[in-house]
Amino acid sequence: MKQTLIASGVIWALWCWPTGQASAQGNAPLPAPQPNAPSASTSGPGVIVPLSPPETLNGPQIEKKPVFGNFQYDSGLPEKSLDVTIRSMFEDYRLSGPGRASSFYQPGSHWLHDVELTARQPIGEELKTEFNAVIRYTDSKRHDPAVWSLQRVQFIARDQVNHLTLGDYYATLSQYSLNQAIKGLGYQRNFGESTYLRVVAGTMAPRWDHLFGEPHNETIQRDVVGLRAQNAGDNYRVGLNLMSASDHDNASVRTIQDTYRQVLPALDWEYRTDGGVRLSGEHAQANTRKQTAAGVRRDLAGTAHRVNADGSLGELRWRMRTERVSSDFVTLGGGAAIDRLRYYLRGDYRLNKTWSVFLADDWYRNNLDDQISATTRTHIPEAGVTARGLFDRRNLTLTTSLRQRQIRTEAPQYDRNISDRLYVSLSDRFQEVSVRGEVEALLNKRKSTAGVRTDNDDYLYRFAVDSRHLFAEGRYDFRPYLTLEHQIVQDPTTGKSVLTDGVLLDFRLVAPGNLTYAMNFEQRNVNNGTATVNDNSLLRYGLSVAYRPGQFPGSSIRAEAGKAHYNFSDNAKDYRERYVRVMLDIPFSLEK
Amino acid sequence: MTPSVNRHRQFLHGILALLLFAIAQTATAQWWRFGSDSAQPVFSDLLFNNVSALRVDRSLQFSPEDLDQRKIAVRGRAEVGQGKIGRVEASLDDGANWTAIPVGDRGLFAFEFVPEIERAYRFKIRALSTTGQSSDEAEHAFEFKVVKEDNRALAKAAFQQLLDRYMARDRSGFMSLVSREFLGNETALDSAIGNDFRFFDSIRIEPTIQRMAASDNRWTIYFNFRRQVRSVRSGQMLSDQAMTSVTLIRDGDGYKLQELAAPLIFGVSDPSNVATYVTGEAVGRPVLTVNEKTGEASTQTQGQTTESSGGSGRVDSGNVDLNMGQGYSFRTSAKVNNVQPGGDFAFGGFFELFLGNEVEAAAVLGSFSLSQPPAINPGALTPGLEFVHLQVGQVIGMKLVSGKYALVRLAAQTGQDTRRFEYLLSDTPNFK
Repeated sequence: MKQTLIASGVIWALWCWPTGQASAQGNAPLPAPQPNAPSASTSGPGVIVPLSPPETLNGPQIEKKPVFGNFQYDSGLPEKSLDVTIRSMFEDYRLSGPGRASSFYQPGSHWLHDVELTARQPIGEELKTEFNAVIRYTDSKRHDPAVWSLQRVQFIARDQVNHLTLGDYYATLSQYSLNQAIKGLGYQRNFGESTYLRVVAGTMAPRWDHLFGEPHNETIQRDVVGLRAQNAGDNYRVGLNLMSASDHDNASVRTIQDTYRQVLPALDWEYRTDGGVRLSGEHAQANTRKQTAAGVRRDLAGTAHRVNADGSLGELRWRMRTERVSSDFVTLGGGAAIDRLRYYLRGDYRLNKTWSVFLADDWYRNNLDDQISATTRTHIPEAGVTARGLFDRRNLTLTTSLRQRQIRTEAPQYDRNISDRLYVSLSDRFQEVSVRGEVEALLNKRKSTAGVRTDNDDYLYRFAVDSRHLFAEGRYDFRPYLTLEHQIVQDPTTGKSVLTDGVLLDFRLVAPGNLTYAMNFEQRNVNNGTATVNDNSLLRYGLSVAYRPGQFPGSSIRAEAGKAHYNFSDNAKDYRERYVRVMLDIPFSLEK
Repeated sequence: MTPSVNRHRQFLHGILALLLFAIAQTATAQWWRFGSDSAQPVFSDLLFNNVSALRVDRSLQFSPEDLDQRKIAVRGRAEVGQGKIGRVEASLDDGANWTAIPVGDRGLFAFEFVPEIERAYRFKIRALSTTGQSSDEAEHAFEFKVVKEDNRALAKAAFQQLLDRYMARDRSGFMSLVSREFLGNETALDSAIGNDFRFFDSIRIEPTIQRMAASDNRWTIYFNFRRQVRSVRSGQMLSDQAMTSVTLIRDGDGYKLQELAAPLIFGVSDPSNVATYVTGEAVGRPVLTVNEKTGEASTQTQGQTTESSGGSGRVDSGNVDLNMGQGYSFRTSAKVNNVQPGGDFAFGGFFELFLGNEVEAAAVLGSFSLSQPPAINPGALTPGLEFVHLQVGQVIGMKLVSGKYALVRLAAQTGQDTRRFEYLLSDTPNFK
């Protein structure tokens, strides 16, 4: 926790720093361009108020408003309040049949209760505070490994230029450096409208009880400290990030998992040209010391770079992605597909108001530093056509595309896999009824080192009907949904075809009195075509009712019951499930 | 090729021929119009506050937090090839009343309105050129509503929608809920979702949300899930239970999928290209994996990297005959002639096995067949081991510098100075 103490010192120093212009301007978002225009608030709701044409659309495209983690303390919320929300669920499962051990339900009755407390209190004229905590009780391991658990505890304090969060905090620096929920502190200080400094420190323990020595789903104990400075202008944003993380040596899972220490600086940026082209990217360097469960230490140094661009050129819209993440780039708090070089380009061209075409090309490979015995390269070109409003029908839409996926692994694990996917979709709307038909064919060819050649085709046919009907002057809203599906999958090894037929039917009725009724039905049959493998069928149906009491704004009650039958050609595997669930969500406002 | 598949191939060809015919009929009538519609104005930008509404199809929902001082500021740009944009008109009542909006030289315009909470506005906008042409009103017609729910509830609803599309095995419907800002490889995700539906059936996922965290217009949902699928190939019911997370970002008409963690809840067959990080609580737990090449679905232990949640799902196997002094390298899959330090392991004469510099840690695990191999416990391996005595039938477990795991069994003494070794090579300590 030494890192957390250092971070606390930094925050204290920053909080006391003179605010200058920043305190006068605060962190208000940039106003939308509205020169010489009347105020909409004087014109009443739902009335369009024309404004003078803006000079540019570029500025507000980039989010300059300093944002801060889980902080939702906007001007629309009351400054002083005390709210308690109770969320409860009761569930009961009954299993029967000789194969009931295959069910994933835990038979019997179980409870889940969440109690959330939120208190808001201003201190003086400037400082606003908020406290939020959630406590959970459950007797089902499915919901939580502990009977009683503290799910969240968080304290937030904010004035015009400072934001501080203690407890649960979503630490965000940049994609490669840090994007993780932590327990600790987060602090942000705004300098003017478009510059801020963010400091985070804490532990990545996912559960509070880990900190109290409870071993439920215990993870490696990892401490993190990070810093981000961001500046943005009308057409650019740039962020500097520094993250350091280290794992505890004394964790009990240390003997079966690798542990790490890391320092990771990163730079992220975005730029928008006058022509509407948006460029963005990030560049990071990770210096990591890895210690394996067996105690072997190894220093790893890796880099990650990504550059994205998109824009328009007349009727052409284009998008480009490129990324290189080296084999030894390890990020303990961020995210990246490791050991990957990727190029992606897509262009959509609108021929006229009906027809448009697109071309896309995706290429990526691994083994950038020759650390594994064979390199795999994947290339996915795709072309497609979309037509909207065919035959003068406004909603008649045809989409078709052809994609080839080539995966080639070099010797000594030579393997070549080519899949051609043909996709055709046709949809239309007849008043309230929307229909969509899809056909998808996947033609696969494979050749491997062992000289094994396989050639297997898969076909999928799907038909869906979706509609919405209003009755009694709109007081009843009825929404049926139907899907029919037929699939043929050829087993790559035996060449036998597996046939699947499915039907899914869903009715939903929104009725007066804040009531919603729903009914669903699903039937699915699978024929394996192989004597040694069981055929099976699934039948499921359920009913539910939901009610939102007008007396308690934001509250809801929902009850549902259903049954499922699993039948196999080997009757000894058959089983049935029955369930009942009741869910309750009631917020109480104790003080306003 | 089975007769059934042949029939379907013919049927597909029939559909394609029919489509081509239909397209040809329409295209014949409109062919000369390709690219000549530039007299009709189009909108190239349309922003509701900072959210792009250019491609909104049916409805756009805002939460009260999305409003800026209770207002919506609509800004955009209209363009036309022939002539100039003379006027832009907007309506909030499905075109019953239109309000004229002044347009700048470059087609830019702006207006604002104060929406009532929970009231549905039938938004329409059209641009008129100086040559009298009007843009297609239907192109940008949708329902706009500020709902009571906060962004947390909207993100939760989007997550449920993703689950519904996935469990209904609707690939295109699912992919329409994936953001263009997806941080993994969205093309790989599309293929992996297709593979999931080829190899799994009767998909059921029941999540219990543990916590939701927001930052920079994104919501990350951490949840426990209980999942059951039926392997299409083996007919076996498989289930797993673990912790993972998804991240959703505001994109166009709602929250869309931006990032997935391992263990994957969607696109299970390609974790190394789809997931960008691993949920710590799931490490060591058995999670669902599928081998794309064989269609084999199974549960494997989630490792500390996205690769090792089964990675390719591949366990390589083989055997090699070594003379005294010869070694074998897993890195090159070839024999080497130096006892040390050339290969992973080398036969040193009698029953001695030398371990090369590609072996990070190792231990003799006992005598057993590799047809039913146990998992290696990495903590039980001895680092820096240089040689071991191995009897026929005994197996040595190794962790390699490459991060892979190997089981090597002395299978037989094939000559005075030759031995046969069998091996299994896996991305994880689990060899099943």
